[in-house]
Amino acid sequence: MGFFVIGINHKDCPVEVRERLHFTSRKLQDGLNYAKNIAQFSEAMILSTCNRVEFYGYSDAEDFPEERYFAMMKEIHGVDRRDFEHYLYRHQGREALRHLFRVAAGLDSLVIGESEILGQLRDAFQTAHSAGCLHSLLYRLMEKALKLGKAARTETLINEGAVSIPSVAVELAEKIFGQLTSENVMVLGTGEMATLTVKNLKNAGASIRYVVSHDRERAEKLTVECGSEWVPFEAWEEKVPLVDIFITATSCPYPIVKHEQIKKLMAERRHRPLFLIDIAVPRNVDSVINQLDDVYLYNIDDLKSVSDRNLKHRGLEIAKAEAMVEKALASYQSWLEQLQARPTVESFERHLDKILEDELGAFAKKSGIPDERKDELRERIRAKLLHIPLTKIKEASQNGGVARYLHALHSLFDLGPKDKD
Amino acid sequence: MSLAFVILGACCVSYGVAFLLHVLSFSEIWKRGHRAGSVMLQAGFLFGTLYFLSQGFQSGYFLPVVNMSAALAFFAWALAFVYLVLLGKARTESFGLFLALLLCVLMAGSVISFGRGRGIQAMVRDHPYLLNPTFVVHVVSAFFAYANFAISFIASILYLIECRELKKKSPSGFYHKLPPLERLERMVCLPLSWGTPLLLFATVTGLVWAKHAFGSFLLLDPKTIVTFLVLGCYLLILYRHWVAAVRGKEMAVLSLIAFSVIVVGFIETAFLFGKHNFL
Repeated sequence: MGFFVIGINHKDCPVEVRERLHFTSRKLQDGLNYAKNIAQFSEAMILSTCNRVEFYGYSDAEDFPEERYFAMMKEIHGVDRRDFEHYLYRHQGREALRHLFRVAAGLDSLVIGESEILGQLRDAFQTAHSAGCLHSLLYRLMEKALKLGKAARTETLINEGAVSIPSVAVELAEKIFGQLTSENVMVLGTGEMATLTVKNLKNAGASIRYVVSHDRERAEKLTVECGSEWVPFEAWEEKVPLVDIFITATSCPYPIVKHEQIKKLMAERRHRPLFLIDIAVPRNVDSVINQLDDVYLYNIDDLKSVSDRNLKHRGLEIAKAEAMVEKALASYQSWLEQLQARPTVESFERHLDKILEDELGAFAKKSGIPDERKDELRERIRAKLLHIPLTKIKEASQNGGVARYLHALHSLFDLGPKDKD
Repeated sequence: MSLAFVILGACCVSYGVAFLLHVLSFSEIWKRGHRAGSVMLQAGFLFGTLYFLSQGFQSGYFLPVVNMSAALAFFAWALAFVYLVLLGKARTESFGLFLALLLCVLMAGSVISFGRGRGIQAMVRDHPYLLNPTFVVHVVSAFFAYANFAISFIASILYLIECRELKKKSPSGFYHKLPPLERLERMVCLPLSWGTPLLLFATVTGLVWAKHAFGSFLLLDPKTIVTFLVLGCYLLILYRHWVAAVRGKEMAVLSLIAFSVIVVGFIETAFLFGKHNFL
């Protein structure tokens, strides 16, 4: 059987089902304990994020161990298999390995190339390791997957360019002001998108100075959260000279921010650059303002087109990352096959050593050659005899053809029963 | 082949390799090419330093303007010094690309014109007043002033390109390689505020030296007139920046205009001869 993965993800499984199967940190410990002690998987790891719940394992059984998996899910989540069985995917062997590598490289993510999954995978790996569920095979596999994940993001452009509207706004702000440190932000309106954008800017290092709203109570949550000051709607204009980034997101059906106002205010600001983000529909900012020097106006369509372009650009990098996945897969499989070949090779070496010892011992006795000479001769014959078979086995491990060589060794030299791999 | 020529050639090759590495990085063939390119720029700068040290030890004088080859090499060295040492923290990939190209062209000019013109000994023999320390200070400060203005000029071009791309909202691939506007603005303004006092100092020391050497301030010399014009332009820009707090696009445009005055002035004076012309 070997490696397998069974799980659900954002592609086919609705969020309600994903929520029910999500492993909290407590459930994760219980799940790993169950997998180790009751389900008796040789090795196991659970990856649970908002987009996927996956169980990675290694099993010696012949059949796919899904009964044990369903029993575990029933025990931990109390969910019957009928409720989620049709959303499940199951991979084993090479496909399971490829799936893990694609997840690590961000190729299976909702937003291609996103970096969060790599951290989540690392956490899952550490938790499984701490719970004693990982041994050499899955441990080495995870090390390889994490290394690949990192390389895919540094050696390709798969994670370059923001793709969500708030992150595009942050990226543009950083293009204008450099790394955000103390740039002042004012937001007009308290809608969902405005709040998200403000939070992204705050996380990037900007200082949210003013929240402008008709209703003080509605603005309160955001002002408390961001440590900013409430400004009545009528007073927004006087705050413009004090800010660098100005977000408008009200439901007002006509432009609130006019060309003449900003032209006058830019002179007061002494032409310090102003980044205007208009995420309102209909637009809150007069589009002619973009023609003013040192004013950069982006409305929701502009932000979306940047996001689309970045997504398209990421798409071009997918092929490069896929090639890296295939290379990592071949490398891991080669290591695995060499590992599996080791018992047979050791038997063959022992067999050879025994023949050499017997025959050279007898010859040395007859001819009277010293022990050092005998040992030297034995080593040279041994090295020459082993060189070609070991090279061939190593070569075969690159393309999955080791089994027939091992079988041949067993048959030709009568090496005894095969060790269970 | 003299040792000086070999060092000069190595300097030119280093800048050429730096430019190629930056191109590889820009075309995304080798993503980290600009890092290696930056190292090659530093190597070129070290070769340049070695060249002037060896020249100084060999002749016993430091006069980097006795012929075209030395003048071009010294201007390239001053540019590299401003970029690598004074603006070390503000180094960027796109800037490195432009600068490496400019340095490579300057050094190629220096290598090609090597050996032409008069040697340092002959110059000193015919014009002994060139050995006056005031003259050396005048030359060095003038070269550094122009190097600062050239850096500011390159940054201004990049600033205006980025500005346009941001306004256009459908940026080209080049846009993604540009540093933030704020950093470019610093690279426009900082060299201006270093270069202008240096040029003022160079002008004053030049006048003092001219009075000493020729008994006149050479006020009607074409080069002196152009220098006054250039100095006036940059003083006006600094006034706008410091007093009227002008920044952003206007500073970039002003820097471009002022540097154009330098270029036009340089071309013009190249065809006019006066006492203020040694090359």
